[in-house]
Amino acid sequence: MIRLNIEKTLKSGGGNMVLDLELNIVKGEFITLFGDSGAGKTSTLRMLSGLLKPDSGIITVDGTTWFDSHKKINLIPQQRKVGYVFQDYALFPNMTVRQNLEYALQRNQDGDIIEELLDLAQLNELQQRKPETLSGGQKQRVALARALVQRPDILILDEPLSALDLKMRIKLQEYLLQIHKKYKLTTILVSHDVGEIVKLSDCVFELQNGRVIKKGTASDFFGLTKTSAKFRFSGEVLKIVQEDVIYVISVLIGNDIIKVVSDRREANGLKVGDQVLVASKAFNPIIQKI
Amino acid sequence: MNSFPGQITDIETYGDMSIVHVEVANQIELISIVLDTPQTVPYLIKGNRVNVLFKEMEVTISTQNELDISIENRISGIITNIEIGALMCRLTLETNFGEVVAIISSMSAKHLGLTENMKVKIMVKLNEVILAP
Repeated sequence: MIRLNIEKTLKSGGGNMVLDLELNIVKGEFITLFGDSGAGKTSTLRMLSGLLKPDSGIITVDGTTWFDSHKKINLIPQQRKVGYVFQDYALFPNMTVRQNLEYALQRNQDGDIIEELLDLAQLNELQQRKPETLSGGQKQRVALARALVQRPDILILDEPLSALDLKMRIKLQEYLLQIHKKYKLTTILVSHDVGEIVKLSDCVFELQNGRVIKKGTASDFFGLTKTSAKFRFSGEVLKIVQEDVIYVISVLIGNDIIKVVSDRREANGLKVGDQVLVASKAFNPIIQKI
Repeated sequence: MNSFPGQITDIETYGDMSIVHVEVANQIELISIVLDTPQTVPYLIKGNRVNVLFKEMEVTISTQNELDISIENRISGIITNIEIGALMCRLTLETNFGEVVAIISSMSAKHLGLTENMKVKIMVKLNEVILAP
């Protein structure tokens, strides 16, 4: 169990904000921090990883104290078993892929992990390349692999896929799930993509002005279970076309594009890129063996 | 999507399915069949408030008042607006529980001779009605 009970006054453009958080994260879960920009998500992750010091409070991980303002305990980032992946990859531009990974090795750490991660991330053929020659998806695979070099218990993903195109995002989502399970990680994601959150996370915490205002399982959180409809998916609006008196809305669900006929009352409230719930009764779809 | 708030007045369960009656206005009930039971979802309790949802395209319109047909939900309404398109037609209907939108073929609209202010029956099969607590 990861327990954070921390306070921190953050200075921002709009004045001070007090981050006052109580978060309990079950070991092995994939959780998401959700909320507007400036709600305190990244600051929370920085405090968990030791990059930012809380003003007061306690952080314990599986019974070990990482931070305690009263007892003056504050483990340095290297002592916390946390892997951190940033949106902008944060790779060393002057190093090859392999060197980027090797740089993360701790003193006296066995180098076998490098081969394992190059394999897992399918980076073998790219290992001598410099980051600037890689695509966004490849760079993020390197950043992920690097975050795993020290065999962390906790993996922090701060909007890791938001700069990537849809196809790559879906591919890397699968990869994130695979890593999460293989290395038995507790993974903490920051994302605004509802489809991604529902696909990946066990539990969602919503932050607003430095406080947790809502918590729930991903599908409960976004109201996806709140209809009796059993044939339901979440996806992203790709196209809205008016045809006659109706609208045809194309939605990307997983790798498939489906079409939903809709009245203007819904269509007018939607735009391309919106996350949507598509639902129908279990009585409607036909099913056939192929 | 047509959506109306209502109150559950009756639940009939067999196996994993339930037929649920929801009163959306005085004496007007809409009926839904769901793959849920009071044991599987907490909201299925008599007296609970739920929203009743059905799509515009699932609405059948009849100009006859009494029809021998296997459509369980039948409500009276008055056509307040008609938009006839090349293939499809959008009707706005006024009922005792609010405005219903129906999308039917322009062919049917013409065949039935639908006009504004006409009194019609609005019908929806029970397996097209979604409940949203």
